[in-house]
Amino acid sequence: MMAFILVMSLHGLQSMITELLPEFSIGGLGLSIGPFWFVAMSVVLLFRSFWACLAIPVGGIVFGEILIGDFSALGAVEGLIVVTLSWFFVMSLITDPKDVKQIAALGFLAKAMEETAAWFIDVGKFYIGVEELEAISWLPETVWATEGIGALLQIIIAGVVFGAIPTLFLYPRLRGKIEPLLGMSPVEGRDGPMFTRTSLKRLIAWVALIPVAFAFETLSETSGGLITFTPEFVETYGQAFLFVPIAIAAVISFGLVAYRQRKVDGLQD
Amino acid sequence: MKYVDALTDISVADIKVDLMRTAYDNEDALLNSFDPRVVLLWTVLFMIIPWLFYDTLPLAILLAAAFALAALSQVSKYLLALLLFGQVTNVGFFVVLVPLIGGTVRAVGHLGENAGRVVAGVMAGDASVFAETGSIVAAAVGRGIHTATTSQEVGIDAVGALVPFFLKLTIISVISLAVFSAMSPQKLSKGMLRLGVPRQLTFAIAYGYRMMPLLVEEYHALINSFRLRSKVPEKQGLFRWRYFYYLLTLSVKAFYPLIFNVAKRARVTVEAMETKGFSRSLGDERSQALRTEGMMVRTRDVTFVFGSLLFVAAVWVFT
Repeated sequence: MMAFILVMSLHGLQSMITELLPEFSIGGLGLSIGPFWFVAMSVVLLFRSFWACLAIPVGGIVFGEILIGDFSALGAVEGLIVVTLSWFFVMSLITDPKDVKQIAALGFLAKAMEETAAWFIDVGKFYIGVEELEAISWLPETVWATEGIGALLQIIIAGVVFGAIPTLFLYPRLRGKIEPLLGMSPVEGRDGPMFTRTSLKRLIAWVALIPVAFAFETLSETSGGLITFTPEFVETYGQAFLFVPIAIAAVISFGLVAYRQRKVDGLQD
Repeated sequence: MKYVDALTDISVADIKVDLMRTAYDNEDALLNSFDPRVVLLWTVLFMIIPWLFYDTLPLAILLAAAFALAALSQVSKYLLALLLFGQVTNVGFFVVLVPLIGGTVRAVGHLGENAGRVVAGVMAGDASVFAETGSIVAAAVGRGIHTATTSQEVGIDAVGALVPFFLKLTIISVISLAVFSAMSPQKLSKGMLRLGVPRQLTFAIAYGYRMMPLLVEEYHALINSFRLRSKVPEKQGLFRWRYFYYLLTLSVKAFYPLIFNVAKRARVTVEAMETKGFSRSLGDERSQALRTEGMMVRTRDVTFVFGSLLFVAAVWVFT
């Protein structure tokens, strides 16, 4: 729980700050400063618990979306699933927590996994959302390419420049100092191979849950596009008839609520 | 030039004030006076409704209504500008980038089609193959440029087709901006709790609201103290890149002390929460009932929901 609050606050602050920084836009490809992934990288990999992983997306959602007011309800679920599982998987690969290079490389791997998943999800969304655009023959490849370049840029900027490189300096300075502040002892390394049974299980979970994340993301962005709204009564009675069900529902629920409110207010008096 | 000045004069302090206002100053906001459950469900409903329209005119009317709502909810203008800018660049993406990359893809495709022939020629030791290679490359480049320029029109057509799409996205974002900046944190977390969102998450929201000003203040103070103790680079370099690099490294370094401070604060918070029995009350029905006491759907909530629905129906019928 402590690690959860810690990571959430830090990552949230980071995402809020970088959200507000201006973006350099080169021909539509956003080249933003940050996000400062090194914060999450060095702190999460220090604590290595599921809660710390979960705190990354939650922090981003709370600070970067709800507080600012730009909250995409269902779309947030995608990040929640993909980010948490990517980091949870990578965490199981750590064998020697004293080896900074390994930590930085694994942090980079987590970011790369997450961006790749996001890439597939975005392209898939395009296929579902904008069907009429498939009329242009080269468009699908173009979307693959542009989204891919975007993902690659993100991996380089967020994963290396603001991820692995600062982690190399930050991680050794934090290890052994921050755990006592929370009343814990530093995590020890383990012997044996890097890729264990636990890692395999988590990797399978990652692969299995990407479609779920995809479903949520598509639902949030194109939900109504899938519903075609042509009730029969509109055709038979004309469009003005649309008011009737709404008006009836309004009258009924208004009456019900007014009755209940009366009752409660009467009790209070 | 005045507009440009207004844009470049935005300081960190301005943004901070704006942010605080968005998060806290919402006592009089219209949406804050309704029952939070109703507002949340209403938001979900209105995230679907724009998708039922396909023409530009009704969508534009809905967008205007959304902006009116945003004005009533005292949405931060800075954020609104940021959002609109994002949408506009999205449209720009289709005009500029799609033809460009489409052209490249075509050119590479052409090269690939003809690569076989060239390889065969080289194998045979034919000298004329080099001239042929040149012509193939030239043809590929020509084809790429041709695609890029002609598909400019296609791109613009695509923008025409995409305008309703982006209008829909903008409506949804403006509405969610209005809702989430208008609702106060207590109301928001109460409403979510009642709708079945886990306590940990609603706690995170409440905690975020509490901590945000402190964290921003602390981070700003740290950056300022780093600036006091360090030296600005003397040469600014091309596009002042040295200066920006300096600022960037500062903002990265300032996270180091911040991490320790937040760690201490997190420990105090958790200990205080456990003293008051947080973990024990997590699954308890009575605790939840106590927390969400006094919430009731009132007639004005119903009026609000159905009033807005009737407005949408009117837009649907009369346009």
